[in-house]
Amino acid sequence: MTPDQDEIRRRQRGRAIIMAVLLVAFVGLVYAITIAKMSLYR
Amino acid sequence: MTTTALPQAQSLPADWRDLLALTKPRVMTLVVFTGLCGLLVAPAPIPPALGFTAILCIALGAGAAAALNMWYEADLDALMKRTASRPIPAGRLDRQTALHFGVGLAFFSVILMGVATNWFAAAILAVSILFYVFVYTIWLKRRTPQNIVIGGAAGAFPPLIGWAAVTGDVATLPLILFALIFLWTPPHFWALSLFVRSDYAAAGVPMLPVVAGAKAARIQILLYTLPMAAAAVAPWPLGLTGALYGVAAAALSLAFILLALRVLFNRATEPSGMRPEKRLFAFSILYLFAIFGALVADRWLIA
Repeated sequence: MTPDQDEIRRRQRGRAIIMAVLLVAFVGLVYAITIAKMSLYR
Repeated sequence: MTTTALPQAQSLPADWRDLLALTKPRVMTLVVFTGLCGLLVAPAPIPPALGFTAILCIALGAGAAAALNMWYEADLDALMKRTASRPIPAGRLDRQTALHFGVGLAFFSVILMGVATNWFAAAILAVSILFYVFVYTIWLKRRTPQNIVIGGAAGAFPPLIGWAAVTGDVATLPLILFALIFLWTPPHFWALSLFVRSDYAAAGVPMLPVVAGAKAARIQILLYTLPMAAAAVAPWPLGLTGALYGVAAAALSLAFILLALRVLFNRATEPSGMRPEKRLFAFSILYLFAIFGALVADRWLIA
């Protein structure tokens, strides 16, 4: 691999990890919002 | 209008750190804090998960507006020392990526706010983003020295949004908080633009000190500081807050006025002699944090 390809892979990996973390956090947030909304209307 | 060719952004995928930098995280701190205070002083409880989501949406909305601002102003940023190292002018990110990121983040923040809290708060958030991008960035900033006077309204929305996220409406107190930030913005930015005047002049941005001169800007700083101080203290005599907030607001506003007077009597034209302006700029940030902190302390401690 050329240094450019190395850099492309490094950036793609970094963005993939961040996206994965954000998606997991978003799922947790939607779950928390749902529980909170249910408690409001109980 | 001065224009410049931007460096060709490399064909590499954007680094996530550059996308984060597009959101101006440091500026976001004050926006998030004032939004949080608006939410905390609202006269109703909100489940922590919904309160957290509301603040997250305010932060994401502010980030979206900042990204769209950097997308539109990349040519100006390249001409100013203070902003030349931002991702787009430095060539680390292409403009289209910034545009897509900003628009995506804006839609996401507004929709999430509507789903999690209420659509009135989401509408105010949408208006604040649109106001910052279209009224301030695209329309006013390059055309008039009153740019930050009118454009300052965009930064004044967060307490309204925080309050509306809890109550679903607006009331006198959040409107006064809106007025406070609206009137605070000109002295804050004109103090900064006095000691970075050459930067703004080089980029052709018609900031007041560039167009009307330092003396006029110093007078205007004091003229806006006085109604700002009145707006800061107003909730106390109106019975909307207690004495803790009233005394803190009065003391902080007095200090602000004294610093504005020192700026008024300063005759320096070079940044090296503008210590009063630098002190006023630094204090203005502390001022807003302290005023809103006192508001929350008053509400929670006295209550």
